[in-house]
Amino acid sequence: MVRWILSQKFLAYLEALVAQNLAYRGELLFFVLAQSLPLLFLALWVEGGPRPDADYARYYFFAWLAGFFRPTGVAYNLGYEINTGRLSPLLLRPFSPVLDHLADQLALLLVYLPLAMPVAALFPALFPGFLGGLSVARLPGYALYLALGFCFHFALGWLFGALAFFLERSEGLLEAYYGLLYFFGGMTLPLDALPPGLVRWLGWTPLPYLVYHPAALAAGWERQAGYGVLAGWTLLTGALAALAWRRGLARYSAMGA
Amino acid sequence: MEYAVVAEELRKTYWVAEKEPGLFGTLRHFVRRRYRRIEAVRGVSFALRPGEIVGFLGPNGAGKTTTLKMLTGLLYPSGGRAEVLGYRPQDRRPAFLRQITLVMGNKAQLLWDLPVLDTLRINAAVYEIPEAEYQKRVRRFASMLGIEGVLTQPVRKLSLGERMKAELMAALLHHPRVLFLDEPTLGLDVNAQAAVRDFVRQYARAEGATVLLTSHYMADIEALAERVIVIHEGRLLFDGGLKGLVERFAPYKEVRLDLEAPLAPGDLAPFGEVVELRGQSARLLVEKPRLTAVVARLLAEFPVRDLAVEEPPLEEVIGRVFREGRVA
Repeated sequence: MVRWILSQKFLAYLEALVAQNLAYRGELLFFVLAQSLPLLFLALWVEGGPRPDADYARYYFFAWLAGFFRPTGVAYNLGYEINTGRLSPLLLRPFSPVLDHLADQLALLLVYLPLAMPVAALFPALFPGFLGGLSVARLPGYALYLALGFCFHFALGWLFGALAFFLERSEGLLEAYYGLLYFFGGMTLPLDALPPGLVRWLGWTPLPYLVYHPAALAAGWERQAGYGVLAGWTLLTGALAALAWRRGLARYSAMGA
Repeated sequence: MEYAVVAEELRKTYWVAEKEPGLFGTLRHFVRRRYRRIEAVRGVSFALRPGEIVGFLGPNGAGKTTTLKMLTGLLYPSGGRAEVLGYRPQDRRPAFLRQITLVMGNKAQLLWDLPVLDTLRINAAVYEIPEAEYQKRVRRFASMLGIEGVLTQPVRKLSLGERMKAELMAALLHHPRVLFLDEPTLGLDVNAQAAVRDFVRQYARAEGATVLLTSHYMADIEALAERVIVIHEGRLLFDGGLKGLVERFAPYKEVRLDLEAPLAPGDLAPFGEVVELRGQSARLLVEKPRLTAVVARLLAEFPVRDLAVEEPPLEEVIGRVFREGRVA
């Protein structure tokens, strides 16, 4: 399987998936708009926050960009496939449907990121001083957070999706998770606006390392690294997802297909 | 390998939640779920030799599709043993999955909004088919199915027949050795049915593939299969040659009558089972031992313009088997 992923054929597969995703032009636009929540909060904090506007602009820009690396859509897709039996054709392929979804999410990333570029280009124009506080040296750390965040969210989506084998509707779990991420992940507000005791406690969860820490790091607000905590959560979530998937397949009814 | 497909005492049991209609039923269902055990397949056994084409018959809910899903590894059997090409299907090993295919007439694997060629290209990548070989197979299959002109159209724009042909192309692109076909001609017009049948026959012959085919159209079974397996309510009713099925379950012949004058209902009842009576035409089933005597009496007692004796249509034989639920 690893050989297949590294092969030219995987690129051909990815190319076909990109073509598939590009077929839904309207949906692409809506997805990019749906990622704009941090930008709305940027407008609020610029009005009333204690930091300079450019600081908030940098923070919310990187928080916004991190949103594209959250492939939790796999939970909806898998849940739908399991409930309707549409998983069946994927199970007949000579590799796991999970890899199929991983390839699909990578293909989506390749489609979404170029669409985000015009919006990104507006930041330096709208916020003088935006570029001034940027440092290329911080970008590898930010990229590592994004890569780990992508893996964590994929594992989480896989876990929630696999729970559809046991629950009739598992999407509600994802909604609840997003509620926590919005408030405790740093999407609606930088975490330094929360009580320090709560922030310390949150440090043991993956939430602050998915938005706040990467964005704060890239924005130049020095923060301690939390890669280890996030990697640990990713491994744990991945292991739980693999277990739920294996047990779930034995219960799969293939109804509707 | 002696057998390509083996099912041995194969069983599948489901638990299904039951709910009474109405608000009260909904509330009760919310508080306390009630489940019913459904035995979809109850100890079915058969074996298919490499290259065999076998019809798999049974009424709706007989357990055909469930059996196919167990043989392809989609479902874990509740009991018994399944083996396909030496593999345990539910292990879903890549080497096994590369050699089989399942086509379901009522479900699509094609990407709805993209041209057929895009799905084919994905399948080529999935099954690691070299580019030249891929191009060759696409040309060959498209020509056999007569759909060269529609491969660049979005799937949603295709007719049902074109879509089914494209489904077959996608399902066979990797040259599987075992084909599980579940109602591949469902809803197709006569021409499209014939084209699908011809394609399956040619493919199976050329590749030496083993085919297990379910269909409600007896023409499919008659055209493709020499052997049939009949199941009913999850149990095996019959496994043998088509001819044997007719002999075993239809110990009668069909007599077609064309008369000079219309008959009254009941006139033919003493001669056999009247299947159809339309003015001056009638069809009746007559037990084989009585056939000669009945034909002689019909000719003597009625103004017969034409009389023909034939084997009863397979649909009728099968229908009779299912109604009577006779066990092999």
